[in-house]
Amino acid sequence: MNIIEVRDLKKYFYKKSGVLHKVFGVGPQVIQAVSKVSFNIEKGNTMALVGESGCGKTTVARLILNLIEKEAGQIYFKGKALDEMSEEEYNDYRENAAFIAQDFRSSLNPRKLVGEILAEPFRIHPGVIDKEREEARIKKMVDLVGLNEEALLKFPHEFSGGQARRIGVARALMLNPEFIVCDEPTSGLDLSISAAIINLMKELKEEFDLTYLWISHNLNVVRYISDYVGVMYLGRIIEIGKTKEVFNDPSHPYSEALIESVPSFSKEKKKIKIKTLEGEVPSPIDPPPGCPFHPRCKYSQAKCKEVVPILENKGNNREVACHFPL
Amino acid sequence: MAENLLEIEKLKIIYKRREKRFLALDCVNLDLKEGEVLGVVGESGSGKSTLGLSIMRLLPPQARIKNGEIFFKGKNICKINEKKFNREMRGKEITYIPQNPQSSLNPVFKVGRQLKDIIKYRAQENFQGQDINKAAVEIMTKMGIADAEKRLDEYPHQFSGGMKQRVLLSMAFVTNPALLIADEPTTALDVTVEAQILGLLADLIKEYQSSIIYITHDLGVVSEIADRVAVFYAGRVIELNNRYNIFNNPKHPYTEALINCLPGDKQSEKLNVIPGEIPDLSDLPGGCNFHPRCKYAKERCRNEKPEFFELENGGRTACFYHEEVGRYQ
Amino acid sequence: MNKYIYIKKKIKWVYERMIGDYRFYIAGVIIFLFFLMAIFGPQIAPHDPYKTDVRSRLEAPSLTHPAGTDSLGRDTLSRLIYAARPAFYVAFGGLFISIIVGMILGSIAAYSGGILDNIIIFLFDVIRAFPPIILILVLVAIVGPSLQSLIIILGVTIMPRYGRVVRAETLSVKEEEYVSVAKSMGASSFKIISFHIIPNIFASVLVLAGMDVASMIMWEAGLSFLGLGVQPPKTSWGVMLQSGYQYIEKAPMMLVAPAVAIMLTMMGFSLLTESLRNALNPKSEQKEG
Repeated sequence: MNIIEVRDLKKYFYKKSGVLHKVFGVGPQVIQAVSKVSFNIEKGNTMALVGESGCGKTTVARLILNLIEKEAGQIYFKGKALDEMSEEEYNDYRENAAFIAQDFRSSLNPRKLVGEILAEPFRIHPGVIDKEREEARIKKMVDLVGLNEEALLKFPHEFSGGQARRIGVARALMLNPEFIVCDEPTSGLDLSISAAIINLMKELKEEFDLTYLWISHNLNVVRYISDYVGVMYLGRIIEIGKTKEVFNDPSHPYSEALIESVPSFSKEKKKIKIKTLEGEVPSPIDPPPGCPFHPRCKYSQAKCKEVVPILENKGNNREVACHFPL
Repeated sequence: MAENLLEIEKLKIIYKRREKRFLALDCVNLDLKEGEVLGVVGESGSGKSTLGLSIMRLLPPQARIKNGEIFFKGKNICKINEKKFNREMRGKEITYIPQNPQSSLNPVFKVGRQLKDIIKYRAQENFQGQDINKAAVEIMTKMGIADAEKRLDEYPHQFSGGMKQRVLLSMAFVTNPALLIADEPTTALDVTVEAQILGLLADLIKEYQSSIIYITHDLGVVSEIADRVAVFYAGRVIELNNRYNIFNNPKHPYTEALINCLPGDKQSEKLNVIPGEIPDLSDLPGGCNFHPRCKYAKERCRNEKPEFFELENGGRTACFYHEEVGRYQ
Repeated sequence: MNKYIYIKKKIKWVYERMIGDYRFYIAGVIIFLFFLMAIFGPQIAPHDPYKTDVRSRLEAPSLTHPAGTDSLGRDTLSRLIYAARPAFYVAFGGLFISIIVGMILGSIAAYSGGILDNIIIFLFDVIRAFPPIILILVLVAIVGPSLQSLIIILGVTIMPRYGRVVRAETLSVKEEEYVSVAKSMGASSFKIISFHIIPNIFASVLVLAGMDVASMIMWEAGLSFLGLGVQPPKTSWGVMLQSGYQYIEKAPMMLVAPAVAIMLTMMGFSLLTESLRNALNPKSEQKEG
C-alpha cells in the first residue's frame, strides 16, 4: 500500500512586486520551487529525497505535511486526497503523519519544559491515548530515545544537540504515527552523535513499523539508510529508484556528478582527484530552457536545450528525466 | 632537511565563562612543513577552532594562553607585539578562511572594494606597478569567478555561498601567504560546490606552495586533501600521523571509533556508536579524557593522563594501550 | 505530570536567576514599600491626610510629623502614603489598558496580515506621530483633567508601543520551527497562539511594562504638577509637588518628600525590569551542539 502518493505537485513562490511592477505591469518574480513532482512512498519503506540547495526537497516535505499550500497537483495519504478528506479523515492524517524538523533547537519551544513539549501532541489530539496512560507513554518514549526521566523537568537549552534531536524524535512518536517526515535529521550533529541518531531511527522504524520520508543532503547517510531515493534538481525529480541501484549505477548525469562529488572516505595512499561538476545551480527564478541541467551537463546535446525531459519509467523500478540517460 | 614552518609547543588555552574554566587546548604539540597540508579533525568541543584562532592571535578576550609557544618561521609569534603581528603577519603571511562565508564579507561594501583593500594594504609587493583593479580581476578569475570585472562592482549578497568562498580565497591567496588556516571552509556549502572548492584548493597549493591547516569534522574531506592528520579530542591532539596511516592503521581508540562511525554500504549492519557524550571542557574526567567511552580502557587510564608515544611509522598517539588498538576489529 | 509541577519548576527557575542579582533585592524593597503604601495606605498612615491644623503649618520634620507638615497643617508623610494610590492606579490602570488593547490589536495584525494589518499599523502610527506631551495635553484639554481621564489617556498614548512589539514578536514566533511542528500536528491557530505565541512574547511585554510603570508615574507627577491631572483636594505625588514648590524655602520637605518618593519608585521598577529581562531569557545558558 502506498502511504503517500504525490501527483504533479507544483509550488511557486511569488516575490512581492514593487511599485514598478504594479505600474508598468511587469509581473512579480516567480520562484519555481517545485515543478510537477510525482512519486509514491510504500508502507514500510524509507524514501529519501536528495539534492542541493534550492532543489525543492524541503518544500516538497512541507507540502506533504500541508504546512504550505500547493499550487497544483494532489497529495494522497493512504489513498485519500488531502483536499477531499472529511474532518475525521484529516484528523487521522494529522495524527499519523509526524514531522521531525531540521533545526533541532528551534523546533523546541525554549520557554517550555520538555515534559510540556512532549505532552503537546495529546493536547492537540485528546483521546488518542487514554488520559491516565499519557504520562506513562511520555516516560516510555523518553526512555526509548535514550534519555532519562529527569529530562522532563528541564528546558531545551539544557540539552546538547544530539539530545535535543532525540526529544524531537520522541515527540514525533507520541501519537503512534505511521509516517514520519524527517527533515535533515543528522545535520549539525557530530559524527558519533549522528551515528547514534541513525541507529535510533532505524530501530524505531522496525519496532513501530514506520515509513520515513528522509530529506537530506548527506549522501553517505542516505545510501546507508534509505530503500528508495529521489534526486532533485531545480524543483524537479530527475531520477528516482532503489537506493542501491541509483548509487551504483546512476542514469542521470546530475546524479552521477552528485555521487562523484561526495568526498568519500578513502584509504588509498595517493590523494584522489575528485571529478568536479562545473558551474553553479541556476536561480529558480529563471531556470534554463529545456532540461534544467543542460548548461552544466557534459553529455548535453541540441535537444536538451529545447525540450524539457519528463520523468519516465526505464523499467526495473527506475525513473529518469533525461533525453540521453547514461 | 626543511625547517618547520610552524611549530606549536605545549599550547594550553583556557576560556573563562560564567565562573567556569574551560580547558580548550591542553598541551598541544604540532609542527608543519612548507607546502604541507595538515588536516585537523575533531568533533565539537575538541578545540580545533581554538587552534586556528590562536595561531592568528584572534582569540576572544575570555581566552588566556596559560602555557606554550607558537613558532612561525622560527619566531615566537606569541611574543611579538600586536601591531607588528597585525602589520606583517596576520592577513599577510598567515591568512584565514572562516567557516561561514555568509557572514564573512561586509554586506555594505562592494566586493571589489573589500578585495582591493587587501591588495592595497597587504599585498603591494606582489603587484608592483600593476593596476590594483587589474590585480583584483586577475586573482578572482584565477579562483574561478567568471566575469570578474563585472563582479567586482557587486555586493556580497549577490554572490552565492560558493562564490563568496572563492572571494575569500582570493583575499587569502593574493598576499601569497606561507600559511593558510581554513576553518571548515566547505561545511556550509553544497556537495558539488564543495568538490569544486576542494579541487581549486588542491591547484592553489601546488601553485603557491602554501601550507594549509585544514580544520574540519568531515573525514571524507580530510582523506582527500590532507598530507598529515591531527585528531583532536577534548582539547588534546590524541593522534598525529600521515593520512594513510591514520585511516588504515589508527592507533588511538577514538580515531578508530570515529572511522567506524561512518556509514558504509551495508545497510544491514548497525552503525558503530561511541557510547557516552563529549565531555564538558570545564568538567573533564580524570586521567585520559576519552576513558569513559573507550572500549580498551583499563585502570591506568582512569588515573593517569597519557603522554605521547612515538610510533614506528612516524606518528604519535596519546594512548597507553595503543598497541592493542585494532585488535577488536 | 501535573501541570502544577511544571509551573512550579518554571517559577523556581526564574527565581534562582534573580537571587544572584543585587538589583532584585533593592528593587524588591522599594516595590514592596510602594505596594504597601498603595494598598494599605489608610491603615499605615500615622495621621489623617486631610485633617488641617492651621496652628501647626509648615512645621519641620519631628517625631509626630516625620516629614513635617504642609501649608494647611496636614501631615506630609500621611499625604505621601495616601498619594501612592493614585500613582498606582495611573501606572497599573493605564498599563492594563495599553497592554490588553495592544496585545489584541498586535496579534490580530500579525495573524491576519493584509489590509487589517495595514489598518492597525496605521492606527498605531497616527498615535505615535504626535509627540506624546502634545497628544496628552490636547486630550486632557478635551476630556477634562482627573485621575480617570489620566488613566485612559495615558493608556491610549502608550498602547501603540505594545501593539508594535506584540505584532513584531508574534510575526517572528510564527516563523519558528516549533510552531511549524505544532501546525503539522494539527494545532488550531487558537491553540498555537495561547500555547506558543503568548508565552514567548510575554517576557518582552513584561519587560516593557516594567519600564513603563516608571514613566507612567513620572507622567502623573508631571501632569498633576501642571494641574492637569489629579485635582485637589484629592492628593497625589504630583499635586504635592505643586504645593511644595510654592513653599520651597519655608518648608522644603513638602517638595523633597514627594520628589524622593517618585524617584525611588521609578528607580525600583527600572531595576526590577533590568533584573527580569536577564532572568527571563532562557537562551543565555545554551550548551554547544
